[in-house]
Amino acid sequence: MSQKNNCEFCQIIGKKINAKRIFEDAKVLAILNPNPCCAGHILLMPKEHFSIIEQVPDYLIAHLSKIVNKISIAVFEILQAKGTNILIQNGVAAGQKSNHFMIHIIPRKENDSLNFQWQPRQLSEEQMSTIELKLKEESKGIGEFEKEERKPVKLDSEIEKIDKEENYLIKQLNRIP
Amino acid sequence: MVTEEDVANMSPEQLQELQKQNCIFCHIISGKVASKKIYEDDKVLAILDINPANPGHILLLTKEHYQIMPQIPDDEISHMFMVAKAISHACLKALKVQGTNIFIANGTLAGQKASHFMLHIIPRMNTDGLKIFDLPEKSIQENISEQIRAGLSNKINELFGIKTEEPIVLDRKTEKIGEKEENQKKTNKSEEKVNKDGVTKEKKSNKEGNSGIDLDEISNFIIKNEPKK
Repeated sequence: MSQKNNCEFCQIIGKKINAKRIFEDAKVLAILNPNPCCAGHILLMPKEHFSIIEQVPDYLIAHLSKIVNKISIAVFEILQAKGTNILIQNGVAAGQKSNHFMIHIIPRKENDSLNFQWQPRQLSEEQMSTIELKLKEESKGIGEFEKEERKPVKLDSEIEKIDKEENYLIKQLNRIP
Repeated sequence: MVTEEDVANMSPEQLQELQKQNCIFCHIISGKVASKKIYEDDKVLAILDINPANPGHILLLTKEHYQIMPQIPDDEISHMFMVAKAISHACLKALKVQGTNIFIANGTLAGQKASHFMLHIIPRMNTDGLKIFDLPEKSIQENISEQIRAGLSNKINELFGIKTEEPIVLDRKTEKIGEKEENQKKTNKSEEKVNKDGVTKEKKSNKEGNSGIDLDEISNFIIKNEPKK
C-alpha cells in the first residue's frame, strides 16, 4: 500500500494530481505524458498498481492491448502521425522510471529527432544456440492464459455494492424516529 | 517482374498476396526459411532475432501477414500481448536479465524495417549500454497538448462507440484542431503547401517514389476505409 501512496500515477488515477485524460474505463486510464518525449506522447496504465508486466493479469493485458490498438489508430488519424512506437519499459534496467506499470504510445513524424534504432550485435552460432535452448526450456509452460477475471473477484464487488445499499437503507431507517 | 504500374492497379487483396510472397517472415513461419523458434501456437510465432539489440532479442510475429497494428483484429492483438508477457517472464528467468523492453515499430518512420508486423522483446541489463529506450523529455505548450487531448479523446470514444454528450459541438472542435495543427506546420515549413483538409498531404507521400509498396500508403488506405461504427 505504501508503494501505492507514493505513486504519482496512482494519485493521477485517484484525481489527486491533474493530468490530461484521454480515455478512461473501469480498469484503465490513458493520459498525455506530463513529461513527454514529443507532442502526443501517451501513457496507458491499469488503474490498479502493478510494478512490472509479470504482475499484471492476462485478461488485463488483453484489455490494455485492445485499447493500445485503438489509441494507435486515433493517433494516426488525429495527429496525422506517420507511424507509432509502442514501448513497455519493464524494470529499471529497461528504462522504467515510475514503479507503476504503463505502456507508452509515441506518435512519429518526419524529423522528430526521436530514434529507436539499435546497433545490431553479432553473436556466435554457439551463443545463439545456448540462448535458444534456455529460452525454449522456460517457454514450455506458455499456452494457458487467464483470459477472464476470476469469478470470486466479481462476486466480492457485488457483495460490496449490496452492503453499501443495505447500509444506506439502514441509515435511512435510523433517521426515522 | 511486377512493375510499379501493376502494383498501382492491384486490389488490396492482390497487394497483400504479393507482399506475402516477398515476405521473409512469412517464409520463416511456413518453414521455408530456417529460424530459431522459441514458441509457437496457432496465432503467433516467437523466434530469435538474427541481428539482436541484445542477446536473447526475440521477435514475436503474427502468423497471418499484417503490416501494421491497426489491421490486426482485437483477439489476435490481445493474444499477442499475453504471449509477450509470458515470453518476457521466460527471458527474466532463463537469461537472468534485469528487465525487458517490449517494443513495436508501426510504420517505416517509426523504424519498422520488414513489412510483417512484429513485436520485439529485448532482454535488458543495467550494464548493456542500450540507451535508445530511455525516453528524452521535451516541453510542449499547454494549448497544444490541450488540443491534442481533446482531439484524441473524441476520436477514441468514437472508436469505442461511446457517444459524447454534445456530438455536434465536439465535431467542430476536431475540425478546428486539424486546422490549427496545419497552421503550425505552415509556420514550421513554409515551403510545404498544405491543403485545408489534408488530402494533398497524403498524395505527397505517394510521390516519394519508393518502388514497391510504401507502408504509409497502406496505413493511410486502411485508415480511410476503416468502417466507422
